[in-house]
Amino acid sequence: MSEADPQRDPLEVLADEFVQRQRRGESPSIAEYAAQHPELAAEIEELFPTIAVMERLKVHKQRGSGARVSLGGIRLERLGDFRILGEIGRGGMGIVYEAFQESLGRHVAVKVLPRQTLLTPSQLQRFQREAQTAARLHHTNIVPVFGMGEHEGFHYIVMQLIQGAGLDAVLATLQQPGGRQPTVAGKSNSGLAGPDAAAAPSSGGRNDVSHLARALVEGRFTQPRRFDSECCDGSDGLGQAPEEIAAADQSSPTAGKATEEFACGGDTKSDGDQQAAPVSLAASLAHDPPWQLGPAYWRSVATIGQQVAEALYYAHAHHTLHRDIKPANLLLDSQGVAWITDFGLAKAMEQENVTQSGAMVGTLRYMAPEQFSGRVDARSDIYSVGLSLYELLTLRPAFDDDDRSNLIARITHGEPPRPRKLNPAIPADLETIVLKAIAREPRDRYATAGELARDIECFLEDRPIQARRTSAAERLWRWARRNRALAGLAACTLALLVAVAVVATWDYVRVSQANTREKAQRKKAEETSALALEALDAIFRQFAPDRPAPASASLRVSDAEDPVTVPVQPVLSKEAAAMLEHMLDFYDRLADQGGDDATRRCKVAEANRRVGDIRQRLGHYEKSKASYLRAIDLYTRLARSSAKKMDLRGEIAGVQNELGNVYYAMNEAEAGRKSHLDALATLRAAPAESSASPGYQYELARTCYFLGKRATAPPGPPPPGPDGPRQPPAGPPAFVFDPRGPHRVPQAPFPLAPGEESQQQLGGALALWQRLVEEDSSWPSAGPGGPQQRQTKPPRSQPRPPSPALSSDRNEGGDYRRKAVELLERLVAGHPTVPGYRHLLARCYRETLSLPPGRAAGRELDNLSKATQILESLVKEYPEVADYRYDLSETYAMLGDRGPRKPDAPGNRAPQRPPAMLEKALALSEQLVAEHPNIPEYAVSSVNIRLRLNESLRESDASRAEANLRKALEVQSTLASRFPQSAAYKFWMAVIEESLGGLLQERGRLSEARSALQDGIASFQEVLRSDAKAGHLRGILARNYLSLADVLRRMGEDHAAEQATRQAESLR
Amino acid sequence: MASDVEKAVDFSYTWLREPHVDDKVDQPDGLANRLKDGDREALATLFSLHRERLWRMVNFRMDRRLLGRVDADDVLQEAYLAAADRLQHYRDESSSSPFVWLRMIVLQTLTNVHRHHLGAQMRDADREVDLRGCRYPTSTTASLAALLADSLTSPSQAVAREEMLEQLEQVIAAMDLLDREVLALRHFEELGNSEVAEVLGIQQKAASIRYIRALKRLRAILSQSPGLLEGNGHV
Repeated sequence: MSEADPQRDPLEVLADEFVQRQRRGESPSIAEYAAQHPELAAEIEELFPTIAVMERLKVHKQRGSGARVSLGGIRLERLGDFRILGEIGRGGMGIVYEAFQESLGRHVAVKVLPRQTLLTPSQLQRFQREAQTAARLHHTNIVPVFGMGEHEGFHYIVMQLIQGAGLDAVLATLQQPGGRQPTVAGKSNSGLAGPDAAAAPSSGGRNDVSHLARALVEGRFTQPRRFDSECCDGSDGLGQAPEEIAAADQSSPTAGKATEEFACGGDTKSDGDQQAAPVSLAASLAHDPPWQLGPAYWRSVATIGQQVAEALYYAHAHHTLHRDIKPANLLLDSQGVAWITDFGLAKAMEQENVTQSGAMVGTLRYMAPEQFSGRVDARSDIYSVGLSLYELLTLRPAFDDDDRSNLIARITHGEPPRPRKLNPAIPADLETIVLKAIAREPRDRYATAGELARDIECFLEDRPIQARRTSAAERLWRWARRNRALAGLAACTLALLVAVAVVATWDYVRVSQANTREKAQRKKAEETSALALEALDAIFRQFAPDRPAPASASLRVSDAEDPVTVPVQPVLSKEAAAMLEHMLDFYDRLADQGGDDATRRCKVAEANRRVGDIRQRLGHYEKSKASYLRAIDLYTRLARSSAKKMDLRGEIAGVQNELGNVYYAMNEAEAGRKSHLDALATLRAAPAESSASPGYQYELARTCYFLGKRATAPPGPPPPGPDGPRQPPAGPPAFVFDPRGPHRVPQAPFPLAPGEESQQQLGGALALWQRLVEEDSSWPSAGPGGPQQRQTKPPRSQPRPPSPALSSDRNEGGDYRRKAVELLERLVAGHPTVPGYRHLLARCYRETLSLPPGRAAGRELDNLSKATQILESLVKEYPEVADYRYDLSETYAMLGDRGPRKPDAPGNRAPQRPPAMLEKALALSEQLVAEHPNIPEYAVSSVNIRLRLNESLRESDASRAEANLRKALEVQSTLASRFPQSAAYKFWMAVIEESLGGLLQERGRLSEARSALQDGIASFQEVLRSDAKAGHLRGILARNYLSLADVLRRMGEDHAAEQATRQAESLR
Repeated sequence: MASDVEKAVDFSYTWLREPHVDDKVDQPDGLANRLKDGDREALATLFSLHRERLWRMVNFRMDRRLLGRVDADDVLQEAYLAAADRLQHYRDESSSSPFVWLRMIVLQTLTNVHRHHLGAQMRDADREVDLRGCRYPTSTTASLAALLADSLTSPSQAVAREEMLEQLEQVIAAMDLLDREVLALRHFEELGNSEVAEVLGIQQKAASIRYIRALKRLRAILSQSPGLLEGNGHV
């Protein structure tokens, strides 16, 4: 704003005005100003250009406003043997014409360089050399160079004429909404600089481009048709004849003759053996439908990418870099073949001091970051290809800056938005490929164009690609981490920044309507907090997913002993715990807010639940329980007071289930079960219309899953065998390591011999059950033996023998599982695209195992294979979700376990020999450990799998068994050192050391065996020290001593052997 | 005192609004008065009015080494929160016009960001002398020279760019401090003459004269390096 202050220098006032007009987009003329203010003219002419420079450094309001290549007004008609027919396009370096080579009678493309271009002999030499190099390239997708020449000062290059258009023209077409064509034509070889580039007026040309675009979108290119030379003769150049025909032809109002050729493999008169394409093409041109980019389009783009990559691979193998790959240099012909043009010419054509910014920006945009430092190699070309593909996918350039300096800065330091963020329909794999190609560091890209081509091929064939993607949650986390470093703020604000970032990245401008400001603002506020919660939830799930502990908790330490049960609680890494604590803060504050608004109250209840979740993950069970109870209370009150009763039942049940989990973790199994039953009751009490919803059904299935899981005794105490029920072991229950610390009470498995109190609780739950069962006979029968038996059994008068309880509980559990499976199968059938349903279903199938390994019934193997199938397809569709792979590896491991010990045992139908399955499991597991070294469950799982693998390796391949054990030890000791508070991890380490010792002993490597056994003993002792109740383990330690004694004796150290034996005795 | 959530919500609105004409109808004093009253809406309005220019400033004055890690938008977000916090003190600091006040906060935020990321790597020698309490995290010289150097290089001459950059930096550094600053403020931050005067703490007349002088100096510099100055008069 110019203030008419007489104090100001009048020149400055003018300058201010000049610059403001520029910024508004006008083009004020310096000469004009000079004329209007003659007294200041000299200074105006001196200084205003400098102003212009300064402004130009910032932003270019007009694209491509720099110098346009021109021949200086000369109209070419002939260049030696070549009769110029018409201009096709112009680019940064030269103008491309269509010409007729009279000596050979063929049509060619001729690129003419302006006279002043090659001034110095060295430049000319370079130019020639490059052209020769390019001419040596023979590839389907590289435009052949036929020759070069000079005529009256004009240098030119002769190339094959390609009937099609540059991808920049196609892109420009696709960017127009409604498929209208921009004012650009591009019929053949083009060096188009974009939509502003002038071109020969040719409606035929326009139609060609739009037809190409249409073909790209539909994935259908037509049969080739020989280009009819007659129509293009004449000194007027292209376009005359087609327009005349267009006017005359009524059946395709906007089509020209050229269009006809493109549109059909035969004439337009031919009938239906052509697809509907021709008619719809013409028709659709008439009324501009918007471009629908669907699967066909993605495939088209990928195909182009593949062709270009192959061509590059070939060229690179012939030691030729392109250096200037961009959509304008990629041609697409009417058959869908992609061509690269202008090979190597970038280097030859470079000019000193190109200050014509507009043109340079066009080239700059696709340059690889390292090119700015002068380091070009094959990967720079790969980068440029990737960037071109990016633009084809998203219909906008990756780096959109008009400001040259910003552009360079963004390219060298910044990152373009992810394609799927701009358009979620873009296939994930394709995005991954493109992102890898355009990685900022060359070493992060594909090393060769061949690899790029192969990965694209994989995509096209629906095979998994090599490049790896990061999950959305990982990205969110990285964003959050970046911002934390940014400000060193309290993590509460960090979380808010995350939320705000989510908001800020939405393009609200598009959504803006004529709402009243107030309402819109309030709505936006609610959306913001909803978004904030969602964002936080995403982070939460990343840190503390509901990941089951590795399934195999039991290990046979030697064939004679009963298996030792050591279930491992999920352990949080330090970072995860810290993050969760921070988030807790935020949720707590939210949780404490009141409010009358129903939505708000709902959010508060949700926050309470989240607090409970976090507390649960952190192991603060009492607080967790309190939060859950509060959440339930809030939800219940809300449900009563508002009309939205139905929605909340799902939430309430969800919380009740979580509460159940907490109770189990606190060793209050009865309360836990009751809670799950409460959840069931909640769900069942919902009215019919809401009970049909998938969310509700899912929660129902989840509840049954929990109930089914918990009804079975965990593997450990031996089930009743065919020889009748056995007494439960009189000793202490199977020892459970609680990684939270030695002061916790070991958890008893549920329920071996329920005491009176627990029976009472059980009775209460059963009564509830009874009522529900009467309503629906598909529900599992209540209690041991069902309703009828309940009447005959006297309640709590005698101690019930455990085995019938076990088996009927298992039946009940089985019923629940069946119900869960039934529900989930229906859900999956109705909603096949929701991965969560399938995932839970797979888990349910897996839970059907109750018999110990080696006695798998055929049906249970069936279930396992079903689980495997589901997981395999989940892994294929969502390669980025590590937990699916985790579950799959666990399932393979189970299959490996459950397979027959002896292949010839009757009735066994294992699909594969166990070790092979275990190998598969191991491969997956290793991958996971490599990708996610911070997640302890993966590491634990890999160790377990290795240990089981070892059981068979011991006999077949002893040296591999040893390597296997060593690797397992390595992983396990990493775990033990990362989580020093976990006695369980130390225990496992000890076990592995002992195993290794035994193995080495067998192989006769005695001194190594000794040290391994000694390590094992030391570790066991550490474990015993940290938890006095681990008396159960003394036996194992004693055995270890005995093995050590053995080894020592064999080594001739009898004295030491004696000592060891005595130690063993003292332990027994 | 607004909760953090509310502040974050406010900030996100500044993205949602385009600077509307009716916002400008608000008298400048009106805005200042509302700010003195601690009106958060007024802060949001102020922010959205000047967001573009502040964004330019951040971009211009950010060290290149931060470009991959920090977005100008990030800095603005944080500055907004800081401004919201400082709103209660606006009364005391209201000797500045609202925009200059806000600009100062953004600058301080930017400086903190630099300090956090670059720490010891911040080159003290390059930082500008205090100008009315604002320290710039990067030197205007460096930023300006970089922009100029970028503007002239053809792709394969990037190696020469480094040398050119050094030369340019030297020459621009030899300019008078205030002259240089005026150029940056007027062109890269798009400040008007009165705003420049306020920021630099000089009279409007002096600011005006300085600008012209600076242009002359710059022109002399540019004309010595081939290719920097365009011959034609059209833009």
